[in-house]
Amino acid sequence: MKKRQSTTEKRNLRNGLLFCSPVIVGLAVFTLYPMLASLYYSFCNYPMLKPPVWVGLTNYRVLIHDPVFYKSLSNTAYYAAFATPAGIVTAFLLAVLLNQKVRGMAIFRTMFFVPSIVPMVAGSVLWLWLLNPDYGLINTILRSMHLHAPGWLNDPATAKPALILMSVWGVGGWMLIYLAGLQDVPVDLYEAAEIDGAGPLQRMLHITIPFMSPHLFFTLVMGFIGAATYFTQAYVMTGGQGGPVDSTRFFSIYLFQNAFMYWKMGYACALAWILFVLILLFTLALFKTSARYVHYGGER
Amino acid sequence: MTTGQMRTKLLVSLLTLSLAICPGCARRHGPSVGGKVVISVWHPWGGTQKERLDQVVAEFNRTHKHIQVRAVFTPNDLNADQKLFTSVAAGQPPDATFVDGPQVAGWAEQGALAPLDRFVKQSGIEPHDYFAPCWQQCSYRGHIWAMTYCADPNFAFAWNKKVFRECGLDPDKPPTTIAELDAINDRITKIEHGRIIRIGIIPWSQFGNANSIFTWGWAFGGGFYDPKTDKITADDPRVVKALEWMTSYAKKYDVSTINGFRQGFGSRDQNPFYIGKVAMQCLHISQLDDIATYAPDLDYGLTYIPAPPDGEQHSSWVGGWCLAIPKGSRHPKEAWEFLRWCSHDPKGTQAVGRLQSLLPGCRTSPYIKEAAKKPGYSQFLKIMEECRHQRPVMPAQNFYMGSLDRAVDFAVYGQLTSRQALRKSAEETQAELDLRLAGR
Amino acid sequence: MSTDNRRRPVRFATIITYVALVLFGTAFTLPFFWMVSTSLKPAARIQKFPPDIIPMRAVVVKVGGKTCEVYRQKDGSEVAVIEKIQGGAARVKPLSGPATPGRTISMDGLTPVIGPGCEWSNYSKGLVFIPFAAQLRNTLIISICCVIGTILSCSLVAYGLSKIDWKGRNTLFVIVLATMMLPAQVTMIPVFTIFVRLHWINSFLPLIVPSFLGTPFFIFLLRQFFMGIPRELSEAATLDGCSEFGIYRRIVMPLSKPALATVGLFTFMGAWNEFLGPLIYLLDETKYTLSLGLAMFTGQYGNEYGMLMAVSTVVTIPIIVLFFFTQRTFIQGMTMSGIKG
Repeated sequence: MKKRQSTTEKRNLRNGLLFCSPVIVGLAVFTLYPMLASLYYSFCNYPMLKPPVWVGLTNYRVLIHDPVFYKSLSNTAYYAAFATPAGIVTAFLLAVLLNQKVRGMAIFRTMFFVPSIVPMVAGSVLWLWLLNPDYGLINTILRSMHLHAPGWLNDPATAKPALILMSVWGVGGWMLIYLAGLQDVPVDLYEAAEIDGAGPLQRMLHITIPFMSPHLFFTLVMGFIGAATYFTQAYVMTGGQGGPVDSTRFFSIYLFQNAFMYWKMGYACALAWILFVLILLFTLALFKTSARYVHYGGER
Repeated sequence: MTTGQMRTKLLVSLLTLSLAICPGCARRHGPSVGGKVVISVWHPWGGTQKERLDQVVAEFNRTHKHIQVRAVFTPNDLNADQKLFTSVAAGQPPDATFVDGPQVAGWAEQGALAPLDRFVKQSGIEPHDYFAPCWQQCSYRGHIWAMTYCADPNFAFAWNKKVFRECGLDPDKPPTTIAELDAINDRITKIEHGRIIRIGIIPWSQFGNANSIFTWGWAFGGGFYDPKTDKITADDPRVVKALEWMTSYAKKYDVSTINGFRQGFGSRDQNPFYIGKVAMQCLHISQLDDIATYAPDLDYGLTYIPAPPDGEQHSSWVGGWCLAIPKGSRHPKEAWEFLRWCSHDPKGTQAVGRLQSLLPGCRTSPYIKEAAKKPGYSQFLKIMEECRHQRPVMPAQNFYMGSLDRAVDFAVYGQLTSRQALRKSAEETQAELDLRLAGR
Repeated sequence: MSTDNRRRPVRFATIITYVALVLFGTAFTLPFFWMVSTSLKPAARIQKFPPDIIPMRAVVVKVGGKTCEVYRQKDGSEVAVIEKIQGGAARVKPLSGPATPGRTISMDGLTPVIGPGCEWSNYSKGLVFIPFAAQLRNTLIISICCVIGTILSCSLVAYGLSKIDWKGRNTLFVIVLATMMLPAQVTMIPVFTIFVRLHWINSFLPLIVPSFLGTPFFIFLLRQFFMGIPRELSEAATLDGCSEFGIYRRIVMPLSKPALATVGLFTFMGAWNEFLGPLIYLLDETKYTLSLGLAMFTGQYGNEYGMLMAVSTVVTIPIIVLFFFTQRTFIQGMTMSGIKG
C-alpha cells in the first residue's frame, strides 16, 4: 500500500513538473533575476545609468515619512475598492443579460465587446472629449436632463470616478469570461428551481453565482491586482502628473515618476516591493477565505 | 512518460529553439551600407511635424554622400524617455538623439550624454554664434552636452483684434501691463449659466502649469534658480506675486470649467484662441504656421508679454529642442556631423528653418534674415534678441517642472496659498537638487 | 388557459431585456461610433461644438478650375471664397445674381456653408502617413505567434496546476501569480539587459518568446476552467489506460474550447495593442507595430486627430468582425452529456 502511493506520488510529481516546465523555464530565465535585481536595487541608490550604491534601509526609511507615498496608496486603494466591484458587477449583469435567448444577440454581444478593443491612443482621446466639462457629450446629456454636470477630470472630487467610469466601459473581456462560464451552469437545475417556485433573483443567488464562483473569483483576484498596479490609462488621461492636485496620483504613477522622471530607480524599487508585499498578502487572504465561497465543479 | 508527453516537450522546445536561432529577425544595422555610414537618430517629432522632419533628414542625406541618417520616431513625452534610458543603461543607445532643452543638464548629470567639447572646438563653433540662452541651455559644469536644434522664443503675446473690436476696445492697443491685461479681460469675459462663452485670458494655460509660472514669474521680475549658489528660488516674492495674480483668475471663475476649456489648446484648429473663445494668449512660434493653415481669417496681433511696471519688460525665455550624442554611441563622428549641420551649418539651419518653420539657435545663420521677412516671425525674432532666460540648467530640472506644475495646481484649486505652494516646491526641489549634486 | 398566463410574463421580460440591451449597448458603443464619425470629418470640424453627429464638411464649388469653399453672407446670398487674405479679408465671387468679377470683402459676417459628407482623405492620407502595411504585417506576425504560444504553454501549465496532484503545485501557483504583483517598471531594465545579452534587441523575439513560457493571467484563467471539469472523466480515462498527456489532449482540451478561444482572443488583442514592449525592444521603424504607428499621429506641436481616428478604425474593425463571426465558440458550453453533477 505505501509503496504504491509513493510511486503514484513520484509519477505525479514528475508529470506535474513536466507540464509546468514552460513556466518554470520562463520564471528561471526571464523573471527571477529581474525580480531579485529589483529587490537588491531597493536597498541601493540607483540612478540607472550609474552603478547602484548600497544604502541599506534608507529608501524604506524615507518611504515611511513620504506623504506622497501615503497619498498615492490611498488613491490606489480608492480606485481598487470601487473599480473592481463595479467592473465585476457590471460585467456579470451584462453576461447574464447577453445570455438570454433573444434575437439579434450576436449584435448586442459585439456592441458590449467593442470598447475593450478600441486602441488605447484613440480611446484616451475619445474619453477626454466625452468627459470635457464644457463641451463633452456626457455633460451635455446631463445638462439636458437638468442634472449637475461635474468637472470630471478637472475636478479633484470627480477625477477618480471619471477614471473608474472609463475602466468599467472596458469590461468586455470579463463579460466574455462570464459568458463562457455561464454556459456550463446546468439548465435542468434552473428548471427544477423554477418548478420549486424560486424567483429569478433566488435562482441567480443560489444557482448562477455559486456555479460562476470560480470565474468570479478569478476576476476578483485579477481585478484587484490590476487595480493595484493601475497605471497606463491614468497616466495618459492626466498628462502624467497625477493631477488635479494629486487626486489621480496612483501608486504606479508615483513609482513611474521616481523611476523615469526623477531617476531614482532604487526608491522606485522600494515602492514596488512594498506594493508587492501588500498585494501578495491581500491575495493570499482572498485565497485562504475562498474555500468558503468558491465551489469548483470538478473537485471532489 | 509516454510518447505523447515527450512529443509535447519536444515540440515546445523545438519551437523556442527555432525562434531563438532565427537570426534573420535580429538584424542590426551594420556599420556601413555601400560605403555609407548609417546612423540612427531618435526623434519625438510625431503628428504634424513628422513629415517635415523626414524632409530635413532627406536633405541631409542628399548633401552627405558618406553618412546616411535613419530617423526613428520614438514616442516621448517631455517627462520621461524610457526608451532612451533603458537603451543607454543596457549599452544599446542610438547614435544621436533629440533631447528637450531643459533636460540637457539632467541627462548630462545622469551620464546619458557624451560631452561635445572637442567636436565643438574642431568645428570652430563659438558661444557667441548662438543666442545666449540657447548656448547656456546646453552648457553644464563647463562642458557642452548638446547643440540647439531650434530656438523657441517663449512667448509672443497674441490678441484677437476682432474680439477687441466687438468689446469696444481698440484693436491696435494690446495690454502692456498686468493692470491693463486685467481690465481688458474683465471687459471681454462673458459667462452665461456658469458656462464660459468667452474669456480674456487663462493665466495658467500657457502651455502647461509649469511653463505658465515660468513665463509670468520672469515677467514679474522674479527668478527661479541661482546658479552661483545652486539655490532654488521658487518662493521668490515676485514669483509668489505672479502666482497670486494667476490664482486671482481662479477665484473669479470656476476652475473646473476653465480647465475643461483648456483641452482645445492641444488641437490645431479648435484651439480656443483661434476660434475666439480666448481673446489673449501666449503664442508659440509653431502656431504661426497653424494659424495660417487652420485659421487664416483670424485677425490677430503679436506683441511682447505684458509685465507689471516693476517687472521685466519684453520678458521671454527660450525653449526648443536640442540634438545630443548619447553615451556609448557607436558613430560619434558621423553623429556630430548631423548635429553640426542642423544646428550651426548655414545650409543646414536654413533647411531646418524653412522646412519646419522653426528658428535656429545660431544667430549667424542666414535663415535669421529670411525669417525676419516672414510675417509674425519678425516679432519672434525681436523677442529672441532680448531673450534673457532659459529654464534652470541643473540636474533636478525634471523634478522642478513636476513640482512647479503641482504648486500651480494646488494654488489654483485653492488648496494652498501661492506662498505655501511655492515654498513647498522650493523646499522639495532644493532637497532633490542637493542630493543630485552630492553625487548620490 | 394556463398557456396564456405563461406567455405574458415571458414577453414582458423580453421587452425589458431589449430595452436594457439597447440602452446600455448604445452607451458602450458610443465612443466607438464617435471614433468612426471623427475619422470621417475634416480637420476643421473635428472639435467643433456642438459636434456634428453626422460628418459634415464644407460645401465646395469649382471656380475657374479651383475648388472653393462656399460661405453665406448676412443677406443670405452665397459666395465662393477664392482666396483668404491674412488679417480677416477674402477674395470672393458671388454665386447667385448676375455674374460679376471677384471682389475683396471682410470675412466678418460670413458663415461657412456646410453639408453632410465624408472626408475619406483621413483614411487615404492616414494609411500613407505611417508605414501601415509593414506595421500591420509586423503586428499580425507577433499577435499570431503569441496566440499559439500562449494557448500551448498556458494550457499545459494550467493542466499541471489543476489536474495533477503533486507536492508543491500550490506553491508554484502562488509564485506564478506573485510575478504579476510586481510593477513592470522596476524590472524593465534588468529584463532589457537579458535580451541584450541574448542579442534579441530589435527583433520580435522579446515580444513572442515569453508567451511560449506561460502567462500568469491565462494560466490562472485556464486553471479555473479546468477545475470545473469533473474528475470522473479523467479517472475513467486513466482506467482506460490513458496517459496524463492523453487526458490533456483528448479530454480536457476539447472540452475547453470556449475557454481556449477566450484565451486566444485576449492574447491576440493584448498583442495587437501592446505598446511598451514594442517601444523599447524595436529600433527600426520598419519593425514597428500598429500601436507605435498610431502614436505617430500625436506630436509635441499638434495631433492629427482625423488620421488617428481613421487608422484606429481600420485597426479595430477586423477584430470586431472576427469576434462577431466567432462568437459561437465562446458561448458553446463544455458539453458534458451523460455526466450528472
